[in-house]
Formats: sequence, structure tokens, C-alpha cells
Amino acid sequence: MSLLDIGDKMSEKFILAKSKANEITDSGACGGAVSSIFQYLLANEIVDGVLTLNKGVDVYDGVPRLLTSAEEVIETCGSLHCAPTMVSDLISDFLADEKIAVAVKPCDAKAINELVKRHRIDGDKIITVGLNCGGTVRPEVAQEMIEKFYNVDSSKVVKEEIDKGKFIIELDDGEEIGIKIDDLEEEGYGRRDNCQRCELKVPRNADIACGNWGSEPGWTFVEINSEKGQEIIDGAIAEGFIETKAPSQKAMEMRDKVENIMIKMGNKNVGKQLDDGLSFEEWEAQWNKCIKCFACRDVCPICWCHECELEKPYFKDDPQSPPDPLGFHGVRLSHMSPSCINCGQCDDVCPMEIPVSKIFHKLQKKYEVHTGYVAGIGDEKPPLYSPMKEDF
Amino acid sequence: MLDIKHTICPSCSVGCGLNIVSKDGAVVGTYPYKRHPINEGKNCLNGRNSILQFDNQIENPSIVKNGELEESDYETVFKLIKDQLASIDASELAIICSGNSTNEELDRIKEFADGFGCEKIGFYGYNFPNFAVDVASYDDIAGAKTILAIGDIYRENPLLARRIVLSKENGACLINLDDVEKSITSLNADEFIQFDGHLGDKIDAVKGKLDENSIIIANKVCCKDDFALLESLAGENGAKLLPVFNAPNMKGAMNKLDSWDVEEVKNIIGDSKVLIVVKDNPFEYLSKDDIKGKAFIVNISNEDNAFAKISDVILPGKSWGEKAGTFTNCEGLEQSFDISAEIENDNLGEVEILDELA
Repeated sequence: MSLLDIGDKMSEKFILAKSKANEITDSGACGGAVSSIFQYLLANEIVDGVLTLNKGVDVYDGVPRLLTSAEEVIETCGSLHCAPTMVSDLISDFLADEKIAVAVKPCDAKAINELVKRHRIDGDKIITVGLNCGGTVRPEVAQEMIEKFYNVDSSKVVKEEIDKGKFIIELDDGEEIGIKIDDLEEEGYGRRDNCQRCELKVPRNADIACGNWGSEPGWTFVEINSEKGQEIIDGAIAEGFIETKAPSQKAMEMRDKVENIMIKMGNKNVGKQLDDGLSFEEWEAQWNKCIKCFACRDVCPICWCHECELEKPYFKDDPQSPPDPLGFHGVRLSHMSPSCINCGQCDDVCPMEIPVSKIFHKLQKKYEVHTGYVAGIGDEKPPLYSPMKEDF
Repeated sequence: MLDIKHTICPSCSVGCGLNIVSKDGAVVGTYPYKRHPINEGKNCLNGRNSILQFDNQIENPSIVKNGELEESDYETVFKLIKDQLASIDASELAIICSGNSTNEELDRIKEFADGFGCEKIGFYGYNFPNFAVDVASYDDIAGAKTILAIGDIYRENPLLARRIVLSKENGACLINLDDVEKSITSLNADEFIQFDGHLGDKIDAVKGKLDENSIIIANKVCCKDDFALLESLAGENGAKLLPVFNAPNMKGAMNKLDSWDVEEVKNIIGDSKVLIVVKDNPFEYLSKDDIKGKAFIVNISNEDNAFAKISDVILPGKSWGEKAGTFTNCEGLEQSFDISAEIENDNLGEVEILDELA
């Protein structure tokens, strides 16, 4: 059965959940259901490890961490909106042989989905616990933005949240300040460009999708997206790790409303950034900056070939001459753009500030229009790489 | 067990952050360190490849015979070195350091030299002399109206070039001076001036274009005189100067030790009977004839290279990821880092080696 295709009745697919352990309810976000689900998976040896995010020096510093015992779960954090990490390549490169549960944003889940299709991750060995995501902010941008628009010392921020169209910070004295994301982004701050263009806010491509949209205080709203997700929830209830109840109709409507607002914002920004984006001449200037450092290729969660054509002798540049970026990006575009998941990691790591994702995402959107293929969702491969390609 | 830890990139003096991924006692990859204020998760190829230094390392204390390394032990190698040191005067010892060592290690090496009475301690500065002028900060690049880049900053120091890119977006003018026909920096420059051999011939061409809103960034100079020209150019025009080096702590080394040019290094080696080289590869600037057979060579480095083959004894020390310490980057910022590489290695670090030799 494919993702997004289970649960005939609403009550089977949507639940409110909370931890049954007081220490987790107190410290975890929205009742700590995610933490308790991870504890259940580790304590019952359903997985060898849980890959999640650790808060480093502050809320702007997210470091992926592999947990191997249930006791460690309490030491980690949920989502950090100012730490735009990507975990799929850590799994495919270093944890492919292990049974792993992983906390994922929608783009993480998309990347994992694409890597499962490419047999780089074994779908039977991975459990994806999705976290609703309104987007992420680059750490340096976040700090500057908080100093400039919130008029507070950014080091005093202990929590942050994106909710109801606002970026909300909580200070160490308990004060909360929220500013409309639209206003911040009009000033050139706010979420990363690719997050502004994102149209998947609830990770229905993960086994379960969790978040506070539509939840009640002290509860996590959970959407169950796969049979595996259902088994996890059933097991965690049976083993006494979480308790659940049905969400109210009002809560469901609230959740839909928040999600739809965020999706509309994403749609609008796709048009603004991609359709009305850089001109041909402006792109030419961007490519001139390219030093062919391979950072975009290396960080791309989908790009994985054991032997990259771009490292073959016929693509090697004279080390004394400037590189030929068009050949490099052209090959990458033809190879990867149908599966671009718009995670924005290529933009994040480019030393020359080339907005690489904008051209990859633009081509993926065109490919989506012509083939119906949405990268990172469902079981099908991009038509270009499937037996169906003759149809195109 | 998978482990991701912060460190400072060892590939040049810009001072970027880098995350090291270790698994089951080995370094397996890098991961963007987006919280780091200098590079925000962006690393060049050299930086990401810096973990290759964990491959093909010299793993044990060794004695070199007929160009081949023979595995030995600390006791034997330390005795050989101590016997050599006991047989010479203080003036017959020379110590070549580098910007690859941490500030703490350089302090310990200096302390060792002082204790021995050795005055010939320094490093090869790639023609950058010790200098007193205050260097520009990276923030100064953002606010500059004119940037004069000497060398191919875009290729060799991409995360500094990023600052130039951002400054250009704010309207800054980039002038590039280099002795090559073209480069990535020259392609992106508003004006490119090629010089032949020495900067002196072309300095006049840029003099009128600099003022107090200008910054001169140089990652190569042909000689110490050329650097003096840049200092004068900056001073006369009120411009700021930012020399960029090819080792992570060369600025730290500049602050503590003598910066030698090739002739000075050759003279120092020629006058010595024992040469201790710490984390440096003199073959990057000397020929084999300049150094082979001139002194008993103690090579403290785990890099398996041609210089190791002409050394007399080798103590591997540790790679940067296996130790904690501080590097001072080219803008003068001292950054501390902890052990980032969770690998199995019982070798002594450089400080411990010098403690033993003292």
C-alpha cells in the first residue's frame, strides 16, 4: 500500500497523542509524543538507533545525533527552525545497514523517499517520524533578524516556533515575541528561499506526521500515513508509552486552515521566485562565479552515483584555467532536476552564493507539469528512469 | 556509533567551521556546520577534503633507512633524538614550525627551543614577513567600496571570496592583480591587471583607485619587498590590508615566531646539525638538494610524503581533528576547537612529544 492512502475513517488516520512519562511531557514539545514513540522503538529493539537533532551551543546550532538507548531520548530536542539540517545522506552513507527511526522534516522525508526508490536506503529498515514544518531560517540570518526586528539579544532566545504565520521566539525570561513571517520576508529576512517555495508542510510522505497544528495544549496532533505508522502507534499505546484520543472536528479544521495558508504562501513564492526569477544574463553572471567545488553535488541528498561522470577525465578542467561551470551544472541538471526535492541544501553550501536550487526546482516544476511526477512522494520513479518513459 | 562534531577547517587561514563525521573509530565524512559565523555551512573542496589526511598516515614512530620507513617505538626514537641533541651546541639546532600547529603547540615548541637555548626557530611564511599593521576584518570587506585582490582568491580561498561576492552585490568594485593570464577571480573582477614577476611594476596603476573605503586582500606575494609595497600602498591611501595564508594558524605563527623566506630557511638548515620539523613539508618550497644530508632530520608529522623519506626519524604526532586547541585566522580571530575525530590512535601529540624531548 502506498503512502497517503490508508485510513478510510478520519478517526483512524488522525489522533492526538501525548507521552505517559511525566519527565517527557514536561520537557518535550506538545506533550512529548514523538520522544515517547522513539523511546518505545528503542526500548523494544524495533530499531537499532534513532537519528534526531541535538541542540548544540544554542537554538541556532542543530547537530544530528544517533541515539541507541531509550534513556538518551530525553537529551535531544525536537525541531530547530534555525538549524536547516538534512539527514537522509547520513542514513544512506553511514547507516544503510541499520534499522533506523528518524525524525524528518517534509524535505528529509522526500529525500528518503527518493533514496528508497534508488535502493540507497532500505525502506524496510527505516521508520520516518515526520515533524510538520513551516520552514527553516539560516542560523546567521536568524540571529541578525532577531537583533534587528525583535530588538532583543539573540543569545537570550531559548525556543522558537513558526505558528499561525508568525515566527515566534521565547526568551530565557519566558517572554514570547512573534512577528509575521510575511513582514520579515519582505525585508529580506525570514525563512530560506526554498522553504518559502515549499508546498509540503505536513510530511504525509513519512510514516507518521506530528505537530502542534490543530492540537490541544499538552497533546501532539498525529497523522498516520502508512501501515508501518499505524503499527508504531498501536505498539506505543499497547506498551504504555503514549496515550491517545480523537481530535475534535474544530481542531481538524484549524489544522487544515493553517496548512492551507502555508501552502498558499508556498505557491505564491514559487511564482515569485521561479517564474519571475533571474534573467538569462543574470544566470550567466551567477555561473561565472562557480569554482566547481562540487559542494552542491556532494550535499545533494539525491545525487549519489558511485562513479560520478563529472569526475571522468573528459570533464576535468585545466587546473590553471577557470572551470567550465555550464558543463558541470548542465550534466547535473539533466541528471538530477526531475527528482529535485527543493531542500535548498545546494544553496546553503555554495561558497559563491549561487542560488542553485532555483534552477533545479524550476526544472522539476516543469517536469512535474509535463509528467505528473512529484519528487519525493509516492512509490513511482521519475518517468525518465522508469519503464514508463516511452510514454513521454 | 555515528558521531558529528564541530571543528575549524585546517585547509587555509580563513577559519571556516567544519563538522567531522566519525563512525566506529574512523573519520568517514564531513557535514555542513551552518551555525559557524564565518562560513555558515559552506566549505570549499579543500576544506571538505581535509579529512583525507586521516588516510595513508604514518601510524608509528619510525626510523628512515635508505629512503624507507622502518616501524620503531617511542623509546628507541626518543633515544636517537636525545643522543643527537646531546652531541650539539644550542646554535646547531634549528626548528622549522608551520601554521599547521595550534597556538598551544607553537607555545610549547617555543618553550622547548628556549629551554635548549635554540634561537633558530621559525617557519616558512610563503614570502609574507612578520608585520605589525592591523589587518582588516571580514566585516570590512562587506563595507568596502573597492577591493583590490592579489592572487586568485576565488579559487584558493573561496569562503573569503564569498565576502567579496556579497560586497560586489552591494556595489563594490573588484580589481584583481595577478601574474597569471586569467583566473576565476580575474573573470569576476571589474578590472584585471596582469603583472610579470613583481607587483612593483603595476602598483602605480591602482594607486589612484584606493581610499579609506578600500581593502587590499592578498593571498600571494613574490617576496618580502612586494609585501612592503602593499603595506605602503595601504598606508598611503588609508586602505585596509588583509593578508591571507595557506595554513590555518599561520597568523598565530606570525604572532609568535620568525617568518622566513626560502633563502633564510636554506641558510638556517646549512648552519645546523639537527633539524626538527614540526607539521611542515619543506618540499613545498625547497628542493631535495637544499635539505638532504645537511642535518639529522627529526620529522614530527604523520604525513606520508617525499620529505618523510629523506628524514632520519619520524614521530607521527596527531592530526588536527584528534586534538583540541586554538587557531588564529587571517583576520586575527582566535578560535578554539575540541577533539572532533573520534578515532582510535594511541600516538603522542606534539606537546607530549616535546615534553618528552625537553
